[in-house]
Amino acid sequence: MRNSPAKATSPAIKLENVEKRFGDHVVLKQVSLTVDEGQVLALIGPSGAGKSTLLRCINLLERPTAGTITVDGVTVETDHKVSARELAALRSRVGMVFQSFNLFPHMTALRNIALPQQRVLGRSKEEAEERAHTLLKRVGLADKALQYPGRCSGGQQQRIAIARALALDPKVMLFDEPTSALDPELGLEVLKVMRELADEGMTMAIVTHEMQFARDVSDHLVVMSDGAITEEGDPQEIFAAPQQQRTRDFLRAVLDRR
Amino acid sequence: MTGNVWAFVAQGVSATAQLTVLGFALGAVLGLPLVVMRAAPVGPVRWIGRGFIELVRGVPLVVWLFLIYNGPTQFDPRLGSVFTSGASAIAAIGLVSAAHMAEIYRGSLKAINQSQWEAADALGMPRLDTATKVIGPQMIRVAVPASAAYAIGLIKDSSLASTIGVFEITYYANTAAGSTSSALPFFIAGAYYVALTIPSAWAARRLDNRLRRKVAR
Repeated sequence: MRNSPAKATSPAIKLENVEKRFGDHVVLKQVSLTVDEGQVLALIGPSGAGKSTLLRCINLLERPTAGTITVDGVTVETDHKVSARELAALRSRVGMVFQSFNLFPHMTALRNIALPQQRVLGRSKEEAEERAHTLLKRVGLADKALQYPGRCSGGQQQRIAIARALALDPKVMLFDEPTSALDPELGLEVLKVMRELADEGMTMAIVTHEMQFARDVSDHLVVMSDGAITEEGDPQEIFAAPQQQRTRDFLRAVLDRR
Repeated sequence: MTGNVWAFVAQGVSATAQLTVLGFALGAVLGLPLVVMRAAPVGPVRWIGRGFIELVRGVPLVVWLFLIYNGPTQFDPRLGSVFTSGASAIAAIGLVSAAHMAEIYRGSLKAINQSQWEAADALGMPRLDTATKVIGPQMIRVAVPASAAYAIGLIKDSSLASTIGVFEITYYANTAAGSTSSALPFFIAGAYYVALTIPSAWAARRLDNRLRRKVAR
């Protein structure tokens, strides 16, 4: 909805028939979906539905057993061996934020954000740290540059992690339950940063249990269960009138809780 | 006389310190490639690493001392100028330390969350950079307490070098005891060992606390 109709949209993320199986156990059943440039996709559904697995397939942290993944024009066929170059090309376009932040505990916030820029993009230390300072300011943590992650609150750590991912200029940002490990108030400060990112036109895919956030911020909602997409479409419509029984059950379970 | 014995045995303090520091340094460095081999995805590399560690740890330090000191000269007596008692002792202590340090590193490696690799992968960091900049430094920090305990143990284990004639504390104590027919030199040797170990343990604790404060999770 934030996209003006005049703007030509092309798929920033395209998954075709992505399948993931561990032996006989099928975690993802031929899932296909498209996220247009500048769109925000929210993935919701019960635990074990395969949301996180699907998200992690986009940057190949999880190797699908079959299917095609395209991010910003880079296409990877996953049923043959993925070359190191393909992997690097794909990952350079995708930033990821984890539930448990995964900052490097032995480095300051500044170094956490600067080191990957130096190693992955070959930026100079000065350039990388300057960018790190800019991004820290943007996520509201200008004063935390020289702080170690262990000295920061969970919400602060997650915002540093967002800055670290943004520093590599990704085309797409993936969020894997970014607020699930946080107290509600701390989650809010992370959601605020994410909302700003969305408003600036970043393409995002978010696995979340924050239903209100999914409803307000996403352009496209995907409901998953048992490794497949149960229902997808406009978030307002799905929340107002879910078409599938499975979606209704899930939404009732999570919304009645409040 | 007693004062003389203190001074006599003290001549060995510097050698004991050198054996410990150099032997440990050698082990701490050589332990790194060993732990990499031990964790390698390629089967044969892993087996060689593991076999080496098990072999080295399975043989007592005294036996390594004798083997390294006496072994090479059996093939060529001229090698005796390379494998002096001091050099052989450092080599033997370094060898045994390498195997032990590799095991200490391996334990530390296990303590590092897999998600650290994952985060670096997601950022697109090359694996070598991840190993040297992300995982390696954390591994070494986690390994500090166990490594320090091991190094302090080495101060005492280095006394075995007296058996191949290294002039360290125990050697001087033994010599003095022989000529005075008294056990006093051994009490003095004990005192020197304690004087070396207590400050080392204190320094190790301080280092660990400092690192811990920084990376506290």
